[in-house]
Amino acid sequence: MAEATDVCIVGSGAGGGVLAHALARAGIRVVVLERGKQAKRDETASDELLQVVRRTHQPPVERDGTVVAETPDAKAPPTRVGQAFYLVGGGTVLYAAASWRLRPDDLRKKTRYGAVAGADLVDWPVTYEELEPWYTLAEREIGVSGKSGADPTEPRRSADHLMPPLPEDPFSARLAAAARKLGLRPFPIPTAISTRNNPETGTYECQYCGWCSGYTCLFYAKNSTDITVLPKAEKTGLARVVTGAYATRVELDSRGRAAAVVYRDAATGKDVRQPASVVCLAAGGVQTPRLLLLSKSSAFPEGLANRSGLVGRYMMFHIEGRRTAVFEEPFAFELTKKLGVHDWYFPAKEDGWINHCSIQSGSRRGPLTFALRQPGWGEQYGPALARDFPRTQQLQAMVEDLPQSANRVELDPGRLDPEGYPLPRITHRYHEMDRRALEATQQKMGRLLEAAGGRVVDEALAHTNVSGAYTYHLMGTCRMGSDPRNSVVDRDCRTHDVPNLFVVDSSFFPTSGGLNPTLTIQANAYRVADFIARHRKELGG
Amino acid sequence: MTRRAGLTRRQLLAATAAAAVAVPAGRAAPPAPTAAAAAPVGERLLGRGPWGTLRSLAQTMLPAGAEMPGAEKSGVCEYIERALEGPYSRYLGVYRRLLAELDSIARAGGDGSFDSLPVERAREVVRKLEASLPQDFALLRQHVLEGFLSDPVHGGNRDRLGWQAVGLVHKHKD
Repeated sequence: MAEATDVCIVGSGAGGGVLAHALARAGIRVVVLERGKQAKRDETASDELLQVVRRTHQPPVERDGTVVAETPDAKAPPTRVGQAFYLVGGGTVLYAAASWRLRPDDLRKKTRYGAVAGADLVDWPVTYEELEPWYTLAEREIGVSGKSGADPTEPRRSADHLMPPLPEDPFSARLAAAARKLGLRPFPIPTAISTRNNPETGTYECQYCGWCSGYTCLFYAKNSTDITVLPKAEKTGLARVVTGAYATRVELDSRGRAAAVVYRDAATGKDVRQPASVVCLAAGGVQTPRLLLLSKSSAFPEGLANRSGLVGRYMMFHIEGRRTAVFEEPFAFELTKKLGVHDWYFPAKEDGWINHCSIQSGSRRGPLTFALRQPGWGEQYGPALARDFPRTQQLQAMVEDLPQSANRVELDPGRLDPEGYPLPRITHRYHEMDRRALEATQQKMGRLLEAAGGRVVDEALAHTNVSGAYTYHLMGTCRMGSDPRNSVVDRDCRTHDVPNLFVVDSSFFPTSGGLNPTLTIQANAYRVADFIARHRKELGG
Repeated sequence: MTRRAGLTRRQLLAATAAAAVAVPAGRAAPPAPTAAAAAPVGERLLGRGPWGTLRSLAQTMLPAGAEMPGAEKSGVCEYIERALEGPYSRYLGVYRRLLAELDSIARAGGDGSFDSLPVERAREVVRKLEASLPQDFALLRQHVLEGFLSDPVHGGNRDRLGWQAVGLVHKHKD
């Protein structure tokens, strides 16, 4: 058994990393259980084979894969969906670092659009104005660059971005000019990439190498939690990150309060019990509900904190619409999110769908990934690759996935991991509006690319299954709400059923918005840390 | 450079191998093979004949051209042998099956072994191989491209020839 701590956090990514920092700074002892290891950023930086093809930061599909299908009984081969990146810092080590504030209306879906057949729309129990100071804090502590006021849909902010935005590259300059000609208002995407040296966040100015999305940053310019908030948390002497710690169960005491987290220690293969006064889950939108479902007991036969029966339900991804065009001249290689277009973020009345949709540049593929997607071989193959790779650009859409109770994470009784625990299984089918919004957004992206002089080479397709999902954004599976009958956690992200158990990753999102979720997870983690710090005496039980 | 239908695979390989040794300026030439030198890893894993066939196959799939270094020159098979010895050792069976099938298709055509076929005929045989074992062939195609375009630390993409061919300026590595 490990020495007892005040707070045990499962997961060290966007939510867990921030929470550890904020709690330790408030004088609270923290143990963070991280299933993965410290990223070896210098060895694997910009290595497309290891990071994107072999995916050495994720466990093998054969070991830990998730079955995803549209119906509960359909068979499907396991995929990497739902396998969080097992790293100190989680997904923030590898993400593209887009750092958005959700819009007030992202949090008021029900009020703005009313009831929609087949979708379970709700308002968040917190408003944007309540989140605003925490967004501002997160932008400072993590280090976000951007141009305040440039995004036409940007909500009120009490402070500017910490740093100026990333500079325009030739492609985003071209795209921006074309967008303006169409009467649109393109703007630089806010990112957690440093555009100057930052002694306060501990990061350095970007070297503009272009290897951002999907890669560890060699230059300590991408402000992942492993190099920003976690080192600060550890420096207090109050926070400790345990790596190779696979949390398999949250234990309760006789009063029905969370008492400990049991984890399998990768180094010894043995189970370790980590007692804590408060337990916070931040393992991601698939692994967090899985851990609750694994933690069945006589008090909670359907899974911990699951009296509502909603743990795992309302699984949301973002739908990733891509559009590809080939240009006449080559562009320097970049995998950096640079330019956003939000003039169509909110749907028009006549659209017939209510999804919020962001359009973003910077989603090119690396040379190997690009080549693997070009079919064929032989005399023509190499020359075509050499011609098209530097001339091909893509736009990416982040389309909101409407919440539906049938879309859910469950335990897969037929598939156990090598430690003997059931793997997750996801049932997910898009709402008709999701598909229509995706197709319409892809058509708009096509128009933009053509206006910039590109020749669009793919179709605008309404994806029919999860293969079109942006599968790193895993949201909704421990829904936040004020009524214990139709939500899992309350407005403070505390489970309705267990008073000292919290969920601080994107599992709490009641709706998904049309924007990358990380900054919202981080802002919310600061908010929840504040709640825990203020209530530490009563939480300590 | 592109018209060479009359050459056999073996002649082509010999020519490009010689070029590969001659071209890179400032690099020491590899030591001449001696009787004492260990056999290449690929030979040890697959056998001498099949390993040679694999080199011919890779060069047919990714041939050299005016501004294309091709599989042989860019070290694709050096990448593959290293991968087969390590993380891809589970695919050895796939390679054996592919090479046996390739040989059998070539011989069924009555022209002898794959290595001795003229370019056009070799291409036909590879097309038949792709049709016969599509999944195995897709895996091989992936590995050939990995050997062409992945970081040289993995054994292929010799002198970053693959990256140069597709116009990638790699700011960390260049």
